[in-house]
Amino acid sequence: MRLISSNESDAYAGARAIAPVAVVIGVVAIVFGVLARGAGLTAPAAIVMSATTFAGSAQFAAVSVLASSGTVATAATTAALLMSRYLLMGSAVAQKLPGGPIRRFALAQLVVDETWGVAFARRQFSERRLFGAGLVLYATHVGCTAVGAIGGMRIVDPTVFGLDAAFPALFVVLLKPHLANSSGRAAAVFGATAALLLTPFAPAGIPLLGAAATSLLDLPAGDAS
Amino acid sequence: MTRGWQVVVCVGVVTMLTKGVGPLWLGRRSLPPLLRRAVVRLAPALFAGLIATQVFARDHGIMLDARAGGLAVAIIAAAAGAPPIAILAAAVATTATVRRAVR
Repeated sequence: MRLISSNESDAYAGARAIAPVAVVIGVVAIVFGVLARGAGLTAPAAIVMSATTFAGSAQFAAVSVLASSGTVATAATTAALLMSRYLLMGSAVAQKLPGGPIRRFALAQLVVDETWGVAFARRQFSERRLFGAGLVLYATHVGCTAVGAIGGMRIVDPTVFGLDAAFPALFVVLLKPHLANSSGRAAAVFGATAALLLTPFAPAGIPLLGAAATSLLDLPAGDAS
Repeated sequence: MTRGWQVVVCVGVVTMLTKGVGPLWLGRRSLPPLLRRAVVRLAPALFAGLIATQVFARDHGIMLDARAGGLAVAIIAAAAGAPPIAILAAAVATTATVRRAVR
């Protein structure tokens, strides 16, 4: 690991700090492995997705669209829109990450909400803590996806077991923190309403784009963000 | 290439670029405030849209079936502060039970 030149204890501190989070992420990754198989992905595809897309929400969104017989374009677009958040984090990341372009590009891949939090612990950014925490979380993410995808039962018809309810329940979990402020609550109401209004008339994929488009509504009232 | 692999490749490329583009090209520039606020609203809007379409839509119709029961239980469990896995398990079990009862 050439990235750590000295003071490796910082990377270990990052790894230790992320350990409790890694347990939760591990369980979520196992669930992803199982559900990805249920949605028709092969085990290698599910594992490669976790290795290349280190962002749980985008993965679940893409696979859930496939599972509800959406198109490849809809699945990819929905995931891409969810990833746009990282553009916002990008400028903050840019100011902190040291080194040349390849090193910064690689380190940026390890950034997710949890590792970013650990990197900023004690109010001071540490690249080594980001690296330590990121590596542990990434290995857990990919490893546990493999456990779920290979070890998980082969699901013939997910609907029989009520597994089609797993994706919406997961999105409830992901949505909850956004409902803490009025802007997030309004966005959720607009998103759900637009999607449902478009469902009877619009071709596949458009309802989700409609939900995304409502985020462009910049209402002066209740914008608490 | 199967549908699954197409999605894996597309989403993987987009993710790596989205994460990498900031540190490489955005530099110290930041997005305009209007766009910034829209991006913040995008996640709740999309999560809610995904829930709505995957629970209430079938083909081009709106329908109320066992999936709604699972969603209701998931919302109650989440509001009560249950851990994610418990929320998932409760929703799946409820949907399966309601589906069997209706059949």
